[in-house]
Amino acid sequence: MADIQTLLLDLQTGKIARRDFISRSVALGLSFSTASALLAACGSGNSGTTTGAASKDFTFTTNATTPDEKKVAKALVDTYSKQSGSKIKVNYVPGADYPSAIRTYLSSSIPPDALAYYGGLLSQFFIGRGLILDISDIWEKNGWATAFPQAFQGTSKGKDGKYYFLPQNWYWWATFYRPSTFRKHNVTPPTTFDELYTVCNKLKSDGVVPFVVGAQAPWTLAGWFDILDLRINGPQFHTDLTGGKAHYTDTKVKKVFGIWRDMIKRGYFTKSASAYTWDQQIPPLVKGEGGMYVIGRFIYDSFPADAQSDLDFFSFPTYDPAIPTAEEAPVDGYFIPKHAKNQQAAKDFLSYLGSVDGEKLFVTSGGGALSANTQVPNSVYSKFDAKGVEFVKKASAVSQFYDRDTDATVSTRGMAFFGQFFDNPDLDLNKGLSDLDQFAQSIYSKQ
Amino acid sequence: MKGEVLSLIRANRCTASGKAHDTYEMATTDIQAEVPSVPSHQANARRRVSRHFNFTPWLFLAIPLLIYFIWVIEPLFYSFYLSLTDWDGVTNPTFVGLKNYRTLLQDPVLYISFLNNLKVLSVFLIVPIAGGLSLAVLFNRPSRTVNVLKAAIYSPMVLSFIVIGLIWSWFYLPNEGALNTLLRDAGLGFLAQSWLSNAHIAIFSVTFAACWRQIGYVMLLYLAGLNTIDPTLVEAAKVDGANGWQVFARIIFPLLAPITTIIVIATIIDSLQFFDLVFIMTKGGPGYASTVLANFMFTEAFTNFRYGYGAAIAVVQFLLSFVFIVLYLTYMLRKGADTL
Repeated sequence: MADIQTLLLDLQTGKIARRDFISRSVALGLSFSTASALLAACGSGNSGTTTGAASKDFTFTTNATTPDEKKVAKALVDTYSKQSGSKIKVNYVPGADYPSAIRTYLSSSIPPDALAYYGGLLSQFFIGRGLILDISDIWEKNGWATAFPQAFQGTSKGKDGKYYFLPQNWYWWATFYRPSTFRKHNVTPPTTFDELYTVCNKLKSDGVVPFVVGAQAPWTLAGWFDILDLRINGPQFHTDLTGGKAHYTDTKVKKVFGIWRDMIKRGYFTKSASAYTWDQQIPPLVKGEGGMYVIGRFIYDSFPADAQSDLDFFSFPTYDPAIPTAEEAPVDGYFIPKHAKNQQAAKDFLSYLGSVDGEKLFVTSGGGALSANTQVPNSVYSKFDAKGVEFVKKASAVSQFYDRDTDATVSTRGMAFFGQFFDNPDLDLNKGLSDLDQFAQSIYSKQ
Repeated sequence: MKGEVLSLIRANRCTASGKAHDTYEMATTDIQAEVPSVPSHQANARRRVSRHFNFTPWLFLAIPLLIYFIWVIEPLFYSFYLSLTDWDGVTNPTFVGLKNYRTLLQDPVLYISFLNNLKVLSVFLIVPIAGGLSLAVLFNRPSRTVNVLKAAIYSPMVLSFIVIGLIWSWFYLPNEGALNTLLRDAGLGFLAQSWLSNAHIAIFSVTFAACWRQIGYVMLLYLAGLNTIDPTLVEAAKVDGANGWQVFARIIFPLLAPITTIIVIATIIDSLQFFDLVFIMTKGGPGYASTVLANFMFTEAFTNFRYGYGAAIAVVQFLLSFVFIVLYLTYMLRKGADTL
């Protein structure tokens, strides 16, 4: 490599022309494409050196995709830019491409300075590989240890106990329903499994599908597995299972599937659910043909505006009163790549995003999610979101979501199994679960 | 001199055959005998250029070959290399030997996917070829109505797979979909199905949507083939008393063999690369019921970011396509040689 470095130095100092550079690097045994990549790299390196080390300017990459999300991101960037005098280069990457794009950014030598990403194992993956900057200093300076709830702090720390992630916003999963539908059929939100079965039977006998579910992409079923496991086996077992410490062959897991199978066979769910995308099951709920939907807060944004006032939610009923109630609250936020050029500027920007002002602006400009900073007063929220805050505050524990708590490879297999089971609840459960467990163990044993 | 140039051309023309050498030697000896004034080193130079290396075609090919190498050959070999590593897309790839292949061969999803590819292939070999050929024979006459019908049947070809996937998933919806509504209205409600969420038929439902697109394409290829058939052959057969079926089976279909070959090869390759419609219509579900190799590879590489494992699946998929293509080509070539 020493020869290449001399070569690059020669090129930068103008000792050799670019054309000679190519022929000399070919002589060095480099392929043409490597040579041109090196050439491109030093081209941008030259222009990059004009920005000083203490620059306030930085680049920011976000997965804001929908017009609403982009509007919120733009409001935050514009306001901060005006306040701080920083020039911010924003790069919008569609959410579907983001997980693969972020790998390219983080392994590049010139990554963006600030990046949006999802909490849970998804960001831990990069933190664990040493690609993310330690931001414990801004956590301390801003007093975030008291501002952010304990549950979100855990997901922001690396294995070394240092902070790497800013949990900026979150949303909640619950059982959503239309009060008008419940009134029409003379039922009230159930609080226990017995009540749940009574409500489902009543709705079913009135010709209403008790639970709508669109399972073409099986993550909606992962939501069902999560909530049943949380209620039946409790948050500790659920964490152990998704973290690879407990086994899918455990009788506790079989119990979850047994109860789930019973509910499926009683006809409590949409028939042929995997023929529908999750949002194709909103119309039946709106029309009163379906009773309830176990889903995330984002259903509110997809609900017709004139029906939003008639959308409410409750905590999934208790199975065993001895088990503490846990809820699902996935969190999204930001981090800084370790090799970012403008680290200080990016840290200042993150400080703003996590501050009460920044969070307030996020909520009021239509963030579609809640502030992770608990110092933001409830008064900034709509009635619906304010209820969501109270809802999660009551929870004894918070889980992220099946595909954020479980290793990505395992969660893909797990969710495919949920799909298989939901389609055919009579399948050989022992075999299915032991296959899944074997696969999970083969992945976890490598880590 | 004239003789020399001519012989050079001749020599060039038959470089592939063993005769070239002799012809050229003979010609040059003649020239040297006839025209002793030509210095021998010049003749040697000409001989070297013509016999060993003709520079011009390589000059023209250089740029396309370079591009082909960088964007086709090099990534191909890089995929092979990646399949021997455990690359996660972020850290440097570590060489793990054949481990990915060993894991893959024990992975039940591989076999489910491959079986689904074979199901796609079997439907894809029958429906579009039978349908396209029948339509081509039926429409092989000039008429305004026929032209409109041809255009209508070909039109799905201009739609992207995304659009086709969406149209057909609505068409298949269990309660509100057009297909089940039609069946119920026709009194055939017992046939109404949950087309995409029934694990037994999901892959066939998806393949059928692809057939809908493919029929127009096959029809067009066969129409082009039919145009090349000499009408006097058909007339002669008719004069000899052949009926319509005999004319088709003994004259037209054999003459369409080259077109059929192209279509079959394209169909095999398409079936092994089947991806888009599954991705849009079922996401490979329920469970893995409609997962094909390409979806399996995509999920492992771009959802789970096990690039090494994904590359191994891609290599297996490539080898399978390759085996099918080689088998088919040898068969066709041998058959072609026999009939000659």
